[in-house]
Amino acid sequence: MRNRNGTRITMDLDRRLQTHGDFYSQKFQTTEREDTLVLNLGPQHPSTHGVLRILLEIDGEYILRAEPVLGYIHRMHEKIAEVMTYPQFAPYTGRIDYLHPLAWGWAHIGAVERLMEVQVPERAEYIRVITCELNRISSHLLWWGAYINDLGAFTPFFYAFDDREIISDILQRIIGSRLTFSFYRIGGVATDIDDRFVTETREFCNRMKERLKMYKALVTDNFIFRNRLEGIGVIPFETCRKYGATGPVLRGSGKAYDVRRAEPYSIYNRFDFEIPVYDTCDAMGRYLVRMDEIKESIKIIEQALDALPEGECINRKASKRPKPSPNDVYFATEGGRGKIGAHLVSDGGRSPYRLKLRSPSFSNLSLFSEVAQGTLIADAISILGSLDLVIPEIDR
Amino acid sequence: MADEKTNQSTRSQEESNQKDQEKKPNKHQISDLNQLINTINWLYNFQVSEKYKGYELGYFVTPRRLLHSVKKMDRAGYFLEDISCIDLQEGLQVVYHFDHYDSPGRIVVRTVVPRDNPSLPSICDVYPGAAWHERECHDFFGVRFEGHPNPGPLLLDPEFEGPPPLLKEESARRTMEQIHPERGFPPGMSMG
Repeated sequence: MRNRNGTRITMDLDRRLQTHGDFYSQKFQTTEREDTLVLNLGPQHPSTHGVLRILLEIDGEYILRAEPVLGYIHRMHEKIAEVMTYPQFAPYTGRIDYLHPLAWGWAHIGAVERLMEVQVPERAEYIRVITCELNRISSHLLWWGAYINDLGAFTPFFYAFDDREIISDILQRIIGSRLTFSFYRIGGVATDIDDRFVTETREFCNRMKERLKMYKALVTDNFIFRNRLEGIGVIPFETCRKYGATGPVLRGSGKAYDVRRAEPYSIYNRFDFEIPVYDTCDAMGRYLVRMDEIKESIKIIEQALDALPEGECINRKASKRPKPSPNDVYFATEGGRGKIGAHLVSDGGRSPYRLKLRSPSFSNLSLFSEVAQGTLIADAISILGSLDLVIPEIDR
Repeated sequence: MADEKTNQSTRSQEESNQKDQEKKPNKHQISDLNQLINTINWLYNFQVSEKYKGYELGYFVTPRRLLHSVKKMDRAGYFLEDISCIDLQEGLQVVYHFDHYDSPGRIVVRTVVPRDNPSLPSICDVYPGAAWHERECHDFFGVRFEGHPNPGPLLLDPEFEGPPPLLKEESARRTMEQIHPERGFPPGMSMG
């Protein structure tokens, strides 16, 4: 190789070998043992689902220490919120968690509504529940396909996307986008749903119930798959509590905690649904929780469609350029990965004084270094997948 | 948690700080720790009003009493939701959100640290999950957490130089009274 002037560039191999990595690798490398290896998992490895980097100290195939390194997709949403008006920030919430953007949008809009004391019309509440649950199913489906792909089975990915495609089509017709939805507005939703939406959603629910049986036969009952999950990545309940884990990770550790039930927002207390719980505490428990949650979401959607009232889909009196009075509020919603929280502080201006976003994956991933100790690398991939991480949500 | 009170042992310090207060040119700037304790002693254990939503209970504690309160939350079986921070004229208000799995109800523990020496005890020994939240708080606001097992940048670039990005400009800072006007500051009490 030659540079612009034609002189030959030689790679100084000795100098290259003497480098000890970047800031994080150097910090990580203080160890007493000399026969171990420090390995970077990511940030471009496909099984880390985005730009997650994990520093591993390994002895053979066993992990002695693990430390996630974050920040590769950090965009400072909390600062963006401070320089924008309340409605202007709404589209950004879809970019935080691209798999379940409606739950994030709901957390933000819900906090603003709580601050402004805005009433939401009945119909809008039902539309929110239906779309949010549809989005939850699509989030779980993508996780399902990608997780099994991580474990070495390629085919189920296409089955998952086959079903996910239907949800994307249904939501695209009313929302306009297929991934980073921004649908909720202060006081309601952006557009009303029509009869075609209702029939298509009902058809999807019926189809999905049949597909879940096939999923069970194809994947859940497969003994190779079960061996990769059962007894792997045991997270005791007390560990969950100490790290603030929520969502399927917590419910897979035997605690029936769901924000939809614990802190019922919107109209969730009107629906009859179960909170799936498994007390095996392992990756299989977390897997089964999500599979059951798809069923429960279908139940909620069907009940909401049956009871869908007529009326306005947005409160016309709600200000489009709100200027809420000074206060601070907290609003939490249940996302696909756990408890999403928005701590919103207003000083009486047109933009928030401070918006703190609580991301569930952030807390769920923080327990990884404790759980991964002493496991095989292949099992660590299984544990990572079972946590259902969305990296943009962690880095925000 | 009902007996969580923090107005202890500061009567004598209150008097000794009278002189210091007069010297201060900026009346909202609180840099002396004892003076800070006086300020937030007024605010401890405020009742949750109608306008104060999303919370079950709120407590104001001194930085010294923070670890004690957090241990109490731990014994009561609460989990840490997140650690937030608000830049105010009085200093940096660090906000700890707790919730309970079995009897849901958000409890918020607040404390204020002076801006020129923002230092708090780390609660990682009690809640290991707080480690990342504290690092994030240090990234964005520059709050130092003493005794943190693994300090360092978390979300920001290690080579990032400059002031913590979420600190407000001097002109944009609000006082506690402007953010929480309904919380009823005692008459005759100027914040500082």
